[in-house]
Amino acid sequence: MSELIEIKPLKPGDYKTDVKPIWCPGCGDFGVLAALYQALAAKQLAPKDVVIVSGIGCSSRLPAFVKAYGFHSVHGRTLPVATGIKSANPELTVFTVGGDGDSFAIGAGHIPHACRRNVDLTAIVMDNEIYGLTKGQASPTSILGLKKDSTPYGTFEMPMNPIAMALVYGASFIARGFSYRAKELQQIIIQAIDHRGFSFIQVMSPCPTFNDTEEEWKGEVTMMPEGHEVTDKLAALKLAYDSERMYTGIFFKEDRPTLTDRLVDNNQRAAAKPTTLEKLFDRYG
Amino acid sequence: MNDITVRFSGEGGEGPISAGEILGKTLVRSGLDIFTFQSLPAEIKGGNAWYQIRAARHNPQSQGDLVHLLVCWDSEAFGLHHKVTGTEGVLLHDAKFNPPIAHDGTVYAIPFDRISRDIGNPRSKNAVVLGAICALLSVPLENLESEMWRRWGKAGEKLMNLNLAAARAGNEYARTKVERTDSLSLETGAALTEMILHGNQAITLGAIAAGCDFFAGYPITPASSILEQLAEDLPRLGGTVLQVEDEIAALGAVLGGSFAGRKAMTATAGPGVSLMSEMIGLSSMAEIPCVIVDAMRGGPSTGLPTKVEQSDLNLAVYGSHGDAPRIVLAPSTVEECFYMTVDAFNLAELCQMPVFLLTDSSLANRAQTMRRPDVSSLKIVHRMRPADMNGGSGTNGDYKRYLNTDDGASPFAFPGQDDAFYTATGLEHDEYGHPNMRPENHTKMSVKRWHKLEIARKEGPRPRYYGDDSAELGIITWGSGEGSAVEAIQLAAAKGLPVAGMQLRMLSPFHDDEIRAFYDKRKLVIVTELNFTGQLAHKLRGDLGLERVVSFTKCEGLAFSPLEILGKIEATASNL
Repeated sequence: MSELIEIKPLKPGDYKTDVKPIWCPGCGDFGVLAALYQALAAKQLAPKDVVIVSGIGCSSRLPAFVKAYGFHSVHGRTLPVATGIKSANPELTVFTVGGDGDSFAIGAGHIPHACRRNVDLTAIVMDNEIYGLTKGQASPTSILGLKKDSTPYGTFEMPMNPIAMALVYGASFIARGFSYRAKELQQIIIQAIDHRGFSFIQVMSPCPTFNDTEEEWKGEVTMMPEGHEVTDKLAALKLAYDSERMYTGIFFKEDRPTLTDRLVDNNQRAAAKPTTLEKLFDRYG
Repeated sequence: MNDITVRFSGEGGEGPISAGEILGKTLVRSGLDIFTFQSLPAEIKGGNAWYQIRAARHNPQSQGDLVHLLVCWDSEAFGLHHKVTGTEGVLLHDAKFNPPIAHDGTVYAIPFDRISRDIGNPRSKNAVVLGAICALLSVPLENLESEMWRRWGKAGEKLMNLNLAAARAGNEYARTKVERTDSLSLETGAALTEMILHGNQAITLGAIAAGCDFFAGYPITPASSILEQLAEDLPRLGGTVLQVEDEIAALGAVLGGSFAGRKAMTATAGPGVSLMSEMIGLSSMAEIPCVIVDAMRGGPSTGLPTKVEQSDLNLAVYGSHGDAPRIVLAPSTVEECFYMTVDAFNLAELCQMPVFLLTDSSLANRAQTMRRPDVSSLKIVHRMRPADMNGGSGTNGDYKRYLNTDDGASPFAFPGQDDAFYTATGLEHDEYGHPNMRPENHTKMSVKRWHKLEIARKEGPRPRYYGDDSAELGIITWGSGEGSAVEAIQLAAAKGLPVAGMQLRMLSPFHDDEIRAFYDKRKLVIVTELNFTGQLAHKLRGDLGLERVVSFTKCEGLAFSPLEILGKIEATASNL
């Protein structure tokens, strides 16, 4: 006699923990968290198979709010930690979350390597163009001339273009979302989870306290033009460099072997020369 | 003779190092134990490089003092090293150059270069040198030939035959044309069955024996060969090796791998540890096991990348902000590199914190004989899991990742395997892992994390003792210099000067009681270490309040020799 176990589908609310978000009222990151709950539920991912790695900053507190494994690491180092996790257990669904300071200033050096390895994870950058947790200093994506406490006469550095950077470094899935377009963001995250390879999502996520860009961005965000071919990297670059509009949606996507694939291949080649510890001892005998 | 020291000196890339390695193995094939030391320039080609082999019938413990046979490839080598043979040793050089300086002892000139050209392969000069040395030392030529086959056999028979002809020609020349006035002849015997390997190689074997299945690293002298060897071997055994973009990423990936349930290690040198220091604190705070090999080299900054020094003790013990507990081990021989790597993994699993294995450039590259380990007798441990709790009944749905147990170590859940999720965090947290900055919580969790060091005191490698335990004079050593101290103590004993020796194998936490007991029996204790400031001496004074400590340091990028330590013993004994 077989026993029937009723498996209830997981709902977005099932991924909530009892830790209360520390974010200010109106913070764009609430929208990202909600979209993430929705995406996890849509994919019916078991909490034990999900790991969310974060760095340091307001948005990096996110793992504590999700019922899943979390790793709140150090500033800027989400990608190396997540690369270690994914290569240690490729069965896991791995996310990195962090802000523009964490990802594009202190942690920027890791992005090209995550891209070239094509490590199979989803990197969500909540970009508010400001340092929030340290109370409002200019970040690598702040607009030129922004006056803040650390730049009293205005910034004198060009802002980065994260989408163009990810394209040039060779990320295999590149998208932009907006905190206030919940449905679209949720769909982007689902597609990023489905994509095999390094998925880079820049989410424009306004900071109402130190850099309130909500209204301005609402005027700038534009749906990806109809007919944009997501395999056309040069067309994607043109869209990334558009100075008038802030396109949302999927810029680029390509299929190529992931780090997991390469490691499996590497170990298969190594296994052609099987060994044991005793045989390794013999080598020095 | 049954105890001999040979030094090869020449330009880096010209062959003194590889010739030294081949002679070392040839001597092992001839029934001798060996201990080697090398000093390299920081460049790939050029600059003086030298390789010293001490060979003896039973386990030499240091690279030796007086060089019995010095082989000089060029005039610069002659000028730099000729004094090390004293008047008793033999200096052998290529006849293509004239000695740049007068030398009082025995000097032989052999036309290595010309002989190799006559054979028809100018690149076989090293084989000529090695053949000649076998003749001078009375080492059977066939032992050299078998080693040459092992090393170069794959290069093809034609090249091999040229090299064999070169070795035979060198041997013949030394036997028939050199007018001998020396007594270098070595007592040889049947080949030893023991292993001969470098410290770095022993570490890779120890890691595999301990169950290491994850390694991430970044190339750096003198640790790179650990990355290279594990990149070859671990995937053959199903493990994972990543060469990443810097040392921050290396320890980051290691902590990620360990978080996901692997036994993970990285290997680096001082500059790498400096970069890793923030991640070291994360490992302490989030209680994630990891093993960090620091093959020390001369510092600070880029320092002396190819030279030996023991100046990272402070960095290993204190590096990283905040009060970040960790364990620091220091092996002294190649054999200890194997066994203490196993200790390092076991302690990491038990204590869930970073464990350092402090070696150095000399130990990393030292070829030394070692007895084959009996793997079945090794104790291998694994970290506690949620299912192990409450006598095996698990966490009963209330999982506390940072549960404050009796010894401080908490159940570790693996993503994908345990339905007991949590967020590991570098923020101060409560037992569930939830961020918590309350005053009493910070105290409580700090106590918990530091209390785990008691496990290390119980399980970690204890000090080793030697010499005369009733002596008023003591020596404390750590790391690669221990063998020179052992031999210095033997030399002192032969002169009627009793000395007690202690080698500290765990430098943090200390085995306080054992160190105090040793200290209390002495009027003075010499602390020997290869650095400028006397880092261990400071720590012994500071942590344990020891006052009768005489710091003996050396800051030359070279190892201690037994006679140097004997000199310090004699000078200190006169003050007793």
